Amino acid sequence: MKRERGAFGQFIHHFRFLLIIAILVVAAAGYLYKVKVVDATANLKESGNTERVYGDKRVFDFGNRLTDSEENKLEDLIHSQEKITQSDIVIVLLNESLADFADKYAEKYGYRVSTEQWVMLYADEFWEVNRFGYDKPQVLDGNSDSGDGVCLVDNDFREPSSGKKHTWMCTTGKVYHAFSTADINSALDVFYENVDDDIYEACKDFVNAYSRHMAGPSGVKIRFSLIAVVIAAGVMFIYMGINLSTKVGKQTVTERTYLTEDSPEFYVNENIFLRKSVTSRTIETDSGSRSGGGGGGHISGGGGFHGGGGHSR
Amino acid sequence: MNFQCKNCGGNMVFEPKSGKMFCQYCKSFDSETKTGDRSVTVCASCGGEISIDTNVSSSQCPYCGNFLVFDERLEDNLEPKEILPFSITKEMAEETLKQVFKKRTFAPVGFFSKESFKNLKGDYVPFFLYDYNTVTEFDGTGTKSRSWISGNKEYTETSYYHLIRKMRAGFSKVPADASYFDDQKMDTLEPFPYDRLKQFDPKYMSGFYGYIFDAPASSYEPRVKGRISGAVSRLLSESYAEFNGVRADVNETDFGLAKSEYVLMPVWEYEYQYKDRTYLCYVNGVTGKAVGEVPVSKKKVVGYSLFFGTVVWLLIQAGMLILEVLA
Repeated sequence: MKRERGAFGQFIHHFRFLLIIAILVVAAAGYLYKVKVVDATANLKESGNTERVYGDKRVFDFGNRLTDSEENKLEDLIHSQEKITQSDIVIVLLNESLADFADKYAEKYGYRVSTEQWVMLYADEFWEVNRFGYDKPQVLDGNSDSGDGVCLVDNDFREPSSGKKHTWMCTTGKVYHAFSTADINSALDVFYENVDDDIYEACKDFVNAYSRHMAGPSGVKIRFSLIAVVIAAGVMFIYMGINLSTKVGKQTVTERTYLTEDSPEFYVNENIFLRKSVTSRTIETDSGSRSGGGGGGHISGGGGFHGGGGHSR
Repeated sequence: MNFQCKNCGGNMVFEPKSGKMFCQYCKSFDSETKTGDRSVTVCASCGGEISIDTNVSSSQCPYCGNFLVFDERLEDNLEPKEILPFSITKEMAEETLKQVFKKRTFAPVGFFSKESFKNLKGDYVPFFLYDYNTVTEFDGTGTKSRSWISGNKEYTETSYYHLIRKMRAGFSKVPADASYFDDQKMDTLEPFPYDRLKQFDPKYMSGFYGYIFDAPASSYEPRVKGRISGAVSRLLSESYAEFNGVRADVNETDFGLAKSEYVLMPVWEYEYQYKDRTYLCYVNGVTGKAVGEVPVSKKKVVGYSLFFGTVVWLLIQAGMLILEVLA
């Protein structure tokens, strides 16, 4: 004889499939996290570069656009992400015209570019002169296999010759290989979301976006997700709604169930046409436009190979 | 009176499975004989004093457990013309209810226990079956619309029609519950298979609880007319389904009552007490269709829902982690 289930037995029986799925998925997630994240993080190397001119400093706020506290917080964030991304992350904030700098650069290296690319020249030289690079300082031989890192230069000064403020993201070494033109545009789009309202937030968002792209599994963290809570709550209320119904049984007889065999009989059934009317309305249409930009690999006047891309506003 | 076994003197009851009278003691079939007097206050088997409600026509003695049928409540105008005998056994009804209730997640734990199912009992519920002939006259306006686009303009053409309908419709054996049972639940138990109706015989009631109608057939006519009226409207609307919009100027139905008859329908009744409230479920004694209301345990609602939500959240978090690691 079949034994009746108690409260706990009913509970387990009801959730048996969900429990099995949950155990399998959580176990799979745990296994993957151990193999791909924990083990990968254990193999991360410390930077081998001891020649950086500014030592541990990564944020250069020449335009006085950050508070001291914001600058320190940004430095901390960058230092925590450099090991995970195995690359140097440098941010330079300006508020000055680079016209003189471009002239001196052209004089020094014989390399002249349009206004939009002055920030590019600045970023390239800043990286090379200050000997950045996580693996080692960049070897200025025109190759892209050393000096791993990224340098973001944002100039809040509106250059008269272009009428715009310019930004450049300079990629070097393995970062050059990791970021396509589209990836650079995407990272700069993130930076531009808050650039005029809150430069600290913009820099923080950029570093996090960069880190997510570069880090791979070793950058993955177990995070509490509010979206997951909202979705789970929604699913829970649907589950409650479905199961809260207390009525059993539906009406299955129709109007025809009790009709006699010869019914219904329409002994008069007429549709007499009376009149016709036509109305019209104009259909309105909409139109819009979008635009974008990008950059690519080049060799600086100093001889270093850099990738990168720019935005302006 | 009761039905006694000629072989052993035991109480004989109608057995739904075989459709025969069955002795619960010597296991013989169709060996019944009527015994006892017409009393509704003394048990025909043991002589014990019994107290029976005035609307009950068959019941069980609380002392000896034998089933009794009260002749005087089944005679003259109280005699049903036909009866639909049970063909679903108590065990089959219990299984049907279990199958239906097992999907009710928040039902209290004891709701489908063996102990609770002891309250399952077979009732013969009084119904009146009505035959009506209806004539409906309808006069109104119908519209048909079509739209098309030409250039940057959308045109809509509307055609107007005068609709005239005269419809005859006959309805046969439309049932109406004539007892204290919940009308809506009894309606939901339909259809009862009329082809299995038998001429009334009190032997079918032995083993079950029987009831007599609460009021004459004329009392239930308004409810039946309401049901037929809804059916007539739907049949009429099918005749002008091709129109987008219809406005009625005249819509009248004449109801001609051809006849009504008194019958007994078999229903298994399950009563469950939960937190000072009685919940009732029914199973059609022939088709096995189940209807009713299930109590909800608040503890289960909270516990199950929170657990379900937590597991879903865990699954989403784990899924997000897997996707992030593999990306």
